[in-house]
Amino acid sequence: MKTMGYPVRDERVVWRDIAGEVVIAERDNNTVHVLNPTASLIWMLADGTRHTEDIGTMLRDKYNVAPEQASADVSEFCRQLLQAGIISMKNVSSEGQEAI
Amino acid sequence: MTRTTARPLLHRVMNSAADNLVPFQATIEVTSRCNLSCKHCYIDVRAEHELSLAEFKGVLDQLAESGTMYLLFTGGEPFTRPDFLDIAFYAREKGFMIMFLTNGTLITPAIGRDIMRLEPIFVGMSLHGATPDTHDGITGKQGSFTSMMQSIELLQELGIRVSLQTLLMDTNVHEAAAIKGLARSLGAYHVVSYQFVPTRRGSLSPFNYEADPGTLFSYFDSEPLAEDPPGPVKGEVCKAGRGICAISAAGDVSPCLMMPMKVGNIREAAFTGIWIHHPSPELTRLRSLTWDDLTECRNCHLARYCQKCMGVAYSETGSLTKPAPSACRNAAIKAEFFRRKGVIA
Repeated sequence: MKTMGYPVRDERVVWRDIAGEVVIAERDNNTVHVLNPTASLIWMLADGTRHTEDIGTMLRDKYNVAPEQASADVSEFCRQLLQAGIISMKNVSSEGQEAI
Repeated sequence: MTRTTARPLLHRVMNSAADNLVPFQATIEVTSRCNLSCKHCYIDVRAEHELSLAEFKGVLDQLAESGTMYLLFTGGEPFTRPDFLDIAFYAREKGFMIMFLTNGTLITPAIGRDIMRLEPIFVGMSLHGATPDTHDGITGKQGSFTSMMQSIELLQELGIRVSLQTLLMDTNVHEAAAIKGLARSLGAYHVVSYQFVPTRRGSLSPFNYEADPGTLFSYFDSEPLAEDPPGPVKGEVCKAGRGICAISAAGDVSPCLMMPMKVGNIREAAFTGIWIHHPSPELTRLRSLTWDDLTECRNCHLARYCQKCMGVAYSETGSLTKPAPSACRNAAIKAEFFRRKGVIA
């Protein structure tokens, strides 16, 4: 089942990978987010070219977790970031591929 | 995911960065030139060959790759450099969180709008007095107070956060309360300090302008207690040289703006070479320091009141482990402050 879409990091945020943990700062209000290693991987893959399902597959391969768990982690994390307003979700990838 | 604006999370990130030698906070001195001549200024060395715009862009590329997120631009006076905004806009493009320290005398409306586009965390300025006479007397330039006030007003109108700092000294401590009131009326964040810094060449002449402790106390006595007495000394000595770095106008790399220890030059070696692959013996020594190495400080009865800056101590004594006389004086003042407030016996 295809869910969600192609997550894209907000260009207005500043982020760095500090020893495997992504640190994100919002310019508007200087809010800081620190991501755990799993969330950090998802963040780095959220460049608009990968569907959330594909990100789930990459997560599964890297951490050897069950596919359902990987999908759930990606969905939950993307929901949090959407709520924080620091990613957007596209229906079409930046390479023109449509979500199903 | 953790989200906060509070200090503890940033402290955790800073600790992680320092442990992994990531220069999370960097200070860039874009020029050593200044249009003012503040009597207590620590810069007594003028760079003869300042880094060019292209060289600064190279520095910013390297810092971004090294993990620097917070970038403080200072001088001299940054806006004396005609291409300073080009450097700043490049930093914005490279994804840094930017901060400025300026004397606020060269910010025109057009520059103000450029600063707004850069979305800095804050623009910091030194408020030396509540009146033109006091402020200008310290900066050595008539009109500097008025132009700074105009800049503050302009930046506030543009929605830019202004952060003011006041160093209490012999010629302004008498109007400390008025300075605080002025900062409040301007709607600016404001911090007060009484810690001077030796000059780059190691001269202690700035300390000649320290406020008389008695006058400091008459100010503190009128102030409400705004902090808890500090707890026992613990933890690390300093993040300089690990999670913090500084680059001078001439390209010298140092562990911190306050620590004039040249550990390399960006014209002679890549930043990662200086910072990671081939750290100088002094930098390695600094990184290895613990409180156990600071035997005199660790055993001092004033240790918990001491806000010793390793950089000031180094420039004041030439040693990384000796007590800094100015820090000792200030620790005694702080202890007396808590005594007067009845917090400690």
